[in-house]
Amino acid sequence: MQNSIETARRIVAEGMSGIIPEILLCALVCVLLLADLFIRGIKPRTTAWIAVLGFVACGAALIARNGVHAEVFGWQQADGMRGMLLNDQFAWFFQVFVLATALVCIPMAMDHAAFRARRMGEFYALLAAATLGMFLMASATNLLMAYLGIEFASMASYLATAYDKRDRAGSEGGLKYVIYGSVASGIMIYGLSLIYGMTGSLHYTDIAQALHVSAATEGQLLIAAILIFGGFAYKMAAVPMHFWCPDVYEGAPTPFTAYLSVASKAAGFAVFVRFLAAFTAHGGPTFTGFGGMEFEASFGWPVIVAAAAALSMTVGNLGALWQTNVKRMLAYSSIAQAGYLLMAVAVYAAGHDKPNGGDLAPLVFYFIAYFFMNLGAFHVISVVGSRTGAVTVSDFAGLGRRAPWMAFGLGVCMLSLLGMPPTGGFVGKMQLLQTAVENNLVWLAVLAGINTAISAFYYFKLLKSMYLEKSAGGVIQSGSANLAVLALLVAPLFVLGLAFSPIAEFSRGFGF
Amino acid sequence: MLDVSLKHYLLVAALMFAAGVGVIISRRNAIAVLCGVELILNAAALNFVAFNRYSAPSGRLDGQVFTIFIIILAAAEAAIALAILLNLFQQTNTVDVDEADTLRE
Repeated sequence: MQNSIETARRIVAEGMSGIIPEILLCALVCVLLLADLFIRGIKPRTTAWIAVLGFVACGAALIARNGVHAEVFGWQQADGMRGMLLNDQFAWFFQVFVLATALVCIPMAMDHAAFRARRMGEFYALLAAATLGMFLMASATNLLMAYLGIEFASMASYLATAYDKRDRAGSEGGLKYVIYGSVASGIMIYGLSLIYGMTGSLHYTDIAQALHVSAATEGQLLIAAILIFGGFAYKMAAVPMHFWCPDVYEGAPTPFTAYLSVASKAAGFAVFVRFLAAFTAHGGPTFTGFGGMEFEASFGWPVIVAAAAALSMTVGNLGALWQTNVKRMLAYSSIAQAGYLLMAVAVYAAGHDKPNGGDLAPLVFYFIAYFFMNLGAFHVISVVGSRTGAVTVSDFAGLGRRAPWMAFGLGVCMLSLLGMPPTGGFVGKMQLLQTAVENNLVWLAVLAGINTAISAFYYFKLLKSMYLEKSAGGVIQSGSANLAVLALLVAPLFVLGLAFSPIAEFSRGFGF
Repeated sequence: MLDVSLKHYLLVAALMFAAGVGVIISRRNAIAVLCGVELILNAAALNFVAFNRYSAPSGRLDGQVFTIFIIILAAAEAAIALAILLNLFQQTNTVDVDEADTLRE
């Protein structure tokens, strides 16, 4: 007894040094909440700068962690360490990604009209808390930790969505988010309990090994997999758990919509890919199933993921065609983008144990491009929406004259989301299509091509409104800070589109 | 004397899960939907406890610990959901999820 307490104390003491960025985020949440509570009349600008400082400190600690490969809060087992978290290059990329998104959202929130005359400490605290949850999602190698990370990020997101209490749309979006979210996580946790029952363990490595010799049938695994995929699809905003997406994106304050569409989706992919790797590791056990056929342990995963990819891109693009609200349109667009990204995951699931398979570089590259194009688009929507009060497509009429730089930035982001050269979206999508074709998923690549053509309708609808339609509205003063942020988000899209080879090389370093 | 085995626990949990899904699908009242979610979470918790007792390696308490976290998170989630619901109720005087439909094209 005494001995096991000693062991636990040592594990915690050793683990602390592995989670310094997470501790800094945690401290930031506390500082922001206390500052908001105790300092009378604290200005939104002050809390924003506190948040920036906290995020930068966390970023510095994170950069110091680059190249580390360590199990955190681990215990020794016969064949190696088992931990709650695994700090590796894959986790590192997604953590930097999420942190960068949170940083970009701060200037957007500072500019947001509905946020000007109120205390903002709680909002930034929620932003930091969601970021902390996503950090854990990216590095979790234990089902319990993955579940806690997902819930932590979700709960902060529910509250931030409904942050503007006087705004009916925000409350409604928040309610739908929390209802769908708790249903999805409940179904997922039931699936996780089945996996635990089949393998007797919560750690991914142990699960992978136990599946190797498990007596579970392929049907049992399939039921658990479908239930669990519900929860992951919810975080990725992919079919079949995409219903919440349009309402929440429309209702949430635009800076937070931007955060959700980029960081939340990336963290969802990170936690899902890590989970999937457990099922496809070790070449997979074989099951003798129907009619004596042999199945691998990855059994249905490539099929489930490929089907979800196909449905997500189709549902997303068809849904977007009829939208008049730009935030809602981009919500459907982000469902479609999740479909394109899932295509890379399907290739990964199918080819994880093959010599040239299991390549995550296309996924990473597309996420880098997605970061700039989606945040750029939402930045323009936030700036224009704060000044005109509405964000329907007709509100963007004549934007090419009223705010030329903003219109140009949004136009570039639209072309990149569509996948047109010379932007990063084109190179990213080409890589996704190429790997799909190389790995016998030609039908999926063809479907993605058809979907790209469909998506041209709604992306060009916005471009047409901005440049070809007349509007009586006057010139919109965007402000130099907003233009600087826009330039920082749009310029890299051209770099990614034209000088992509160093970044493609860079994106190769983040597999397992 | 009835011999209670893993099978019985799993059966109860599966029934509870099915009841939860049934409630979520059939009821439009947001509070009733949350009750359905609660049933699903408890079904999962029962599964974890039963699996830990019957099929996990001896000496490991992963499933029991997981259950404690499920209970805590269920409470936190309910608190957040009710806070948001109360805020919406003050604006609209309804807790019916079908009435909350201004966000639609």
